[in-house]
Amino acid sequence: MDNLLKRFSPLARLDWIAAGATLALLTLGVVFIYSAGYGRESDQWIKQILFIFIGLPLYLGIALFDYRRLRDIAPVLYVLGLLLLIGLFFFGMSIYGAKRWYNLRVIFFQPAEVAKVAVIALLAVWFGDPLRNPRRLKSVMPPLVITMIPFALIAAQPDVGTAFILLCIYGAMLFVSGTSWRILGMFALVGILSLPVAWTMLRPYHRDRIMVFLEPDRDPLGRGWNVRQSQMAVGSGGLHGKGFKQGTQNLLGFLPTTVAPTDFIYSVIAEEKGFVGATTMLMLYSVIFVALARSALRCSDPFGRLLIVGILAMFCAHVTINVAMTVGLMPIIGLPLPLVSYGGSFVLSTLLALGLAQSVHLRTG
Amino acid sequence: MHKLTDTERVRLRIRLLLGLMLFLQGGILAFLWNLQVVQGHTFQDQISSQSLRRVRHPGHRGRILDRNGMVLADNRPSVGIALYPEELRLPGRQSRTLDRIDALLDEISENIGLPRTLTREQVARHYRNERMLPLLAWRDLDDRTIARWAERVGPREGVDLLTEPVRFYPFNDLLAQTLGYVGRGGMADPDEGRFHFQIPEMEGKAGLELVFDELLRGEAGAELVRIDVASYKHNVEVLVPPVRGHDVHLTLDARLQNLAERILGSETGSIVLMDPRNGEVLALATYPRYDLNNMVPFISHSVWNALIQDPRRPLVNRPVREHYAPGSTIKPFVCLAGLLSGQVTEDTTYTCHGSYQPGPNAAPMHCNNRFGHGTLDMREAIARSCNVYMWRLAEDIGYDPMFATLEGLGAGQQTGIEVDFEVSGILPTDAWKRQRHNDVLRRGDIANISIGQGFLTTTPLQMALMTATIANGGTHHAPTLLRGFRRHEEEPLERLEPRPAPVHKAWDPVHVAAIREGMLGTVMGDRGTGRNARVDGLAYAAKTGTAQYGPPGNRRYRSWMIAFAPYDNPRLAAVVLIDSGLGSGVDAAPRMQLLMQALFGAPRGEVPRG
Repeated sequence: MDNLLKRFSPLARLDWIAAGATLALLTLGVVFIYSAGYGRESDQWIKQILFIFIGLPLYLGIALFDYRRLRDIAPVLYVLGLLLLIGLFFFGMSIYGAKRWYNLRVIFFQPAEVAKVAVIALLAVWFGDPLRNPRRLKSVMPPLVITMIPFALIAAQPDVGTAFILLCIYGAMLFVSGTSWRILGMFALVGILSLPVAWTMLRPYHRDRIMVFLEPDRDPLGRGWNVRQSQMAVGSGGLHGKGFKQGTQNLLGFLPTTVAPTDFIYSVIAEEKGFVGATTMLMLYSVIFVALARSALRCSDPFGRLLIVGILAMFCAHVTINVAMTVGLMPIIGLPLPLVSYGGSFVLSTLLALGLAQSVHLRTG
Repeated sequence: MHKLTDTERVRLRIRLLLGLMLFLQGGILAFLWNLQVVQGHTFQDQISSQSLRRVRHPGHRGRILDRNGMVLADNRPSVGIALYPEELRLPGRQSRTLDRIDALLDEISENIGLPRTLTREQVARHYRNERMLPLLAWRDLDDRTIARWAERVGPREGVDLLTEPVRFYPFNDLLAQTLGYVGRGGMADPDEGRFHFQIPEMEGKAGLELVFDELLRGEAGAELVRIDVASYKHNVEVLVPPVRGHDVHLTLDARLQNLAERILGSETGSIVLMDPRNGEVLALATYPRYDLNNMVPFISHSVWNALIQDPRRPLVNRPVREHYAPGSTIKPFVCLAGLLSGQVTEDTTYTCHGSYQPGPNAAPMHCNNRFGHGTLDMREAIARSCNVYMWRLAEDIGYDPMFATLEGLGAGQQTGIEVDFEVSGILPTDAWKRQRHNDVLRRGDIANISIGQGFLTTTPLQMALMTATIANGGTHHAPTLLRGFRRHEEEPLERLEPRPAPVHKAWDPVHVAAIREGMLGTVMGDRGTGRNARVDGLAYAAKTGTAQYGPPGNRRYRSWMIAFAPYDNPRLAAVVLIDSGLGSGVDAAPRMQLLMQALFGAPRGEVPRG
């Protein structure tokens, strides 16, 4: 009995603020998935609760796992991630012309989730090596290659949103590794210059979405429909919102029923709970950002620190991009909102990543 | 300046990164403040009680006209009361919404004084499957009902009058099977985009309505309709205007069609009229028919069941969809085969003793004249329809030239006319018989084919085509019903693809002349089989045919008559067929006479003057 208690005792040092905010967001997620499916007799909110009950033990289990062992398995994880991504082209399940998932019957498994964590771990190993001088170009190029291989595979699925997240992760970790401003400036310049090339490689529907974003009245019935309706939902929410389950945009199906509980959950919240609700959500996310950054600052192990930074960058990029696209600040690239959007695979992988950050937190100071 | 240590730099960078992230969140909040609080009212006004409907409007369906511009298929407006289920939707269980619709229907029914037309099950089915389409609760309202509606009910959330075009066939059953009818189309292709409501679209279900559906249909448009709380339309933003469909102009002549149908009367059969100079079909009559206006806007169960249970099969477009033994009408073409083979001439004679023995041990086959026609040349054989002449001729030339000539004329093959379904009939070959009966064509089979019996079958349209080719001296014009189509009156008529070029047969004029003379003798000759179909003042050529069918001993026949007129400069090829007649002279010839009289004869039957 004592033994067992001892095994779980490190959990006492958990970052309770981050854990609390995580739990709060998960709960709100279930509530608004219920609201988004209201009137359609949808049982998605029950499934979401189920996934959370699977995900929470996973979160705590990963927290107990010593993250330092990840250093050795990171390359293996990375190769596994790549193989899974390649396998998608042959065995993947095609939805709307994109092959992003394996159909495991119980759950749609998205290998890009594995790839993101694997890239974070491998970059943390590389940048965390004290013998490398991050101010030299030759020590920042190999991590770029590590990032670009899964980037290309994911962009080819096509899943431009998730691929873009990888670039954010790389950028943040490169920045925190202490590289020189000269290298950062150079990368930024190369990035901007390659935009026209990227434009030509985008699928036509992506280009449409960007054009619609720049010119919302271009095609209000067709491509502009989701943006316009989502923005109307958010805007009509006002300061206090229309009240729970009263979101008419959502209820009457002006927001497509397939995306309301997933990628557009934030506009359901903003419509029903208004500016107050929308702000509360962002505040809860910001609590997690600050908590993660504090863990990173506290951590003296470069590997652990970079691991947290990578996780923070991934998490923050997801939140920011999703919110910005639902309110009409960014073109629509289908990305879910972490912890809140409906979707088993994504809930599990987010909890896994946050659990890993907790694992670092438990073992510092 | 103080130089940072590595650790210090890293910590600073983490703080900078966090700062950037929080800054971005702050930026989003500022944007949201502007969107939700500052501009919130604008959006609330816009959205006021859920007001934006995206509605799909089908294009105005084109008309179908005859060659003189007479309208055969048109649209008329019909006012109905429509439910918009999407707007009647209540939160919670589906049954709540259905209860609401039920109560609403009862209330309206009481107020307008019409019984309910929809059961709860029908409403539920529509709600589940076609929520985007308005549900028509009452159709074709008269003025008094509309007045009652306006006074006592009026538009309200989820219910309104809907004026929709309904197909209308001014001549009811005229040309019924060929014209076909429309029904309500399904929901639009999801690629077209999302709609809240789709105004029902007509979709061709049969006949030319189906064949030319895409041309007639036009292109759907889209509207954004803003509606306020009281369900009144605020403004309508036309996003894509609908495009009207094409009018389809036919070669058919409604007056000739009507004449043909009246001459056919209530005998099951067909009449085909065709212009031998260009292959244009002028009439495609059949009996029994059905009233096309009973088929729109939808076919009721009772009408449909009556149609499919009728043993006379009124849905069948007999001139193209049935194939029959052509009987003696094939004889001119068999003789032509003989001439083209070079093995006989028009002056070749055979002697008829009234019967013929196809093989040494075969049963004798009889001529229609039991006592024999005596010695006949070809013209005489056609005019008097001698079987023995054909049998002997077929025996002399063999089957190959017969097959080649009949095939070249189009017997037993689809003509390619623009109907929804056409059968080919049968022009037998050894291969065909082997497949069907595991045997080759025997002498008896060939003898039968040479008098239009046995395995050979043709459609009335094929017979008209073959007659036309003889009439014009050997030019094959593929039959057509379509003159062309256009969107607006002032545009020229177009076709999707040009008509196939006419095929000029390299026939010796002497040969054609002999066949034509034989057919002339049928009507004009003293002993011609069609002499009782003569018309004062008109010289025309024809061939009769009375084909046996069904079990042996059946006393009913396929009564045929094919003809072209006037003899010297034919403008018409005609086929009359009575499916189950007493013989060509009884059923077919009098009808052909009426037809020719009406079209070419001197005025007759006037009230004597003075």
